[in-house]
Amino acid sequence: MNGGMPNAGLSLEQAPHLLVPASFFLMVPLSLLLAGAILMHAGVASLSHPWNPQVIALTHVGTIGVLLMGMVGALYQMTPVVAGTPVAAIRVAHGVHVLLLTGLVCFVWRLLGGPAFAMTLAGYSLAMALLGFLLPVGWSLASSVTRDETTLGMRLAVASLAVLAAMGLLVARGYAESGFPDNRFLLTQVHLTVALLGWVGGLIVSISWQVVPMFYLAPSPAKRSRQAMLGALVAGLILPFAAFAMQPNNDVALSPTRLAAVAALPAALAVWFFHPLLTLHSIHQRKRRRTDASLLYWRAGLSVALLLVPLAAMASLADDYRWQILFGWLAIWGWAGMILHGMLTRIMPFLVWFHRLTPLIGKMRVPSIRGLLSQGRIKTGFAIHLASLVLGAATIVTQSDILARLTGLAITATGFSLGSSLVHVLHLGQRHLLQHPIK
Amino acid sequence: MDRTKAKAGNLLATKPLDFLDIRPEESVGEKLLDAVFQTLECLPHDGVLKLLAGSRPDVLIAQLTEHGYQIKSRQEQENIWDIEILGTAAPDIVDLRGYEAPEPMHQILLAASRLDGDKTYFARLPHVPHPLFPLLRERNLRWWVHEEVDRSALLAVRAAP
Repeated sequence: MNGGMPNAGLSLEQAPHLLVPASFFLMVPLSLLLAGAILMHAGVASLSHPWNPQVIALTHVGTIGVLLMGMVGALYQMTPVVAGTPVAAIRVAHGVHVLLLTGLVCFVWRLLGGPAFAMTLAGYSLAMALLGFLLPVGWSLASSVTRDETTLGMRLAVASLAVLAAMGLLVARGYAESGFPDNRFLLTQVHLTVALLGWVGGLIVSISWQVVPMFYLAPSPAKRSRQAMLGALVAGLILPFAAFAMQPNNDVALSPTRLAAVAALPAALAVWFFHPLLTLHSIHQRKRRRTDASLLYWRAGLSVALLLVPLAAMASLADDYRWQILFGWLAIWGWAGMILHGMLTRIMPFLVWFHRLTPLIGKMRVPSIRGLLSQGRIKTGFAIHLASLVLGAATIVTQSDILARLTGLAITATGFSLGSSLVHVLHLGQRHLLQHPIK
Repeated sequence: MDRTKAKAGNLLATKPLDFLDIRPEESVGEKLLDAVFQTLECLPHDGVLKLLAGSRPDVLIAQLTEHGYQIKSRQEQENIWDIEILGTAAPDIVDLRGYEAPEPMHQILLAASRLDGDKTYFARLPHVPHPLFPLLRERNLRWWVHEEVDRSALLAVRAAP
């Protein structure tokens, strides 16, 4: 039993100001505009060979600009709520925001032909941004007395972010003309595993246990299922590191890089097979079958996830590089990007309602969160996102330059759609507050 | 007998929601009755006492009913019974478990804004509503929450004295 003592628990002052998560969320549509520009400018080169600089640039606009920005914003907001401990020095978040943006821009600049010092600047900016994020958020999560699976999953995701960032920065030094590490390919493989399964997968899986029941009244998966998924995730994140102990050899079938990919299988199955299957089943069983357009994103993202284990196998085994690109495209834009986009259409109205409108409840009629962002807008965003996903997949298969540019156009449209929705919600909240100032 | 008390002692007199785990004492009839009645005496007439029992405490339920309390009992698991004792003037408990977030929060804040000084508002929620607490504090309201075995929650809100 918890009592409502005047000084117990979190206070509104300890919870982050709306500006903190919102500033990160607004970077998502801006990054989509950047991704669209790269695709329209570079054409099919940005969806061709995995080691093409344009491909690496586009990939990191997706992972840093879209996923990392959205997830960092979500973690600043959710950590105090889920872990029950506030994030210390929350104002540092504004510095993290600026540094992440600087790092991303410099990273892309270098890969699209900019000078070597751009990558050096990117490396320092990203390293400082991640330190500024990981230390307070990691401390808040580590010091929490909450031991449920969501908190454990969030801890795992944050730890994965630290590891993947260290590996990524090591490889990125090569683009700053400081020389690539000898085991560059193995490092990249493990970087990819920890990024997609540990950081992105860990967070999507654990947060879904909290938000899917909360927003959609879907039943939570059984505690045993959650624990088994976390266990498999940890195993699949640790095992690939054994490949670093192997001597490099010329046997392609048993190369350390390939073995590292295979060793991630337990985590891949947990994140891309059991989690989507259980969550789709849970959504199907929800208690109140109210139409909610944001569920379209969950359903689509989770369905794409079910394709990722076979695609990862093909990417690892087949010689045709298109499998690797298709796998990356569907993982970043079809699975994680789709779910993140859907969650933003739900979380942003919730935050605006929470921060701007709850003080007015009881004093005047306050709109519901559905009144802040129409279902039509959410459905439009989904349709454009889906179209860009299909166009991108078709580009990868056909290697058509015109399709690549059309994909860029569709991603740009997705960015405009999402951006206008987020700004619309913020504007509505602000307008309400201005019309009815809190006394 | 495990009893989780609110941390501030001065709250005991007005605390409208309390909890007792009576499983260790179930075989000791009189001691159990004393403990339950003592706890009930500390609750206001519109309060609610939650008991966690290993079996349905029929004797206790009969005694409490005789004293005018309303009892709701439900078997949660094989050896876990949830007993809810409603005070003689306890209001209806509003069930908000069928609403998506943030509708329960909206309903609670709305109801709380209409609370009379000494009245208590009770609601059942799908989970413990952590984001609600700072909003209640902002409005100078007090709250008590009990997490049920199925992780849903019973919330009591009243105005601070």
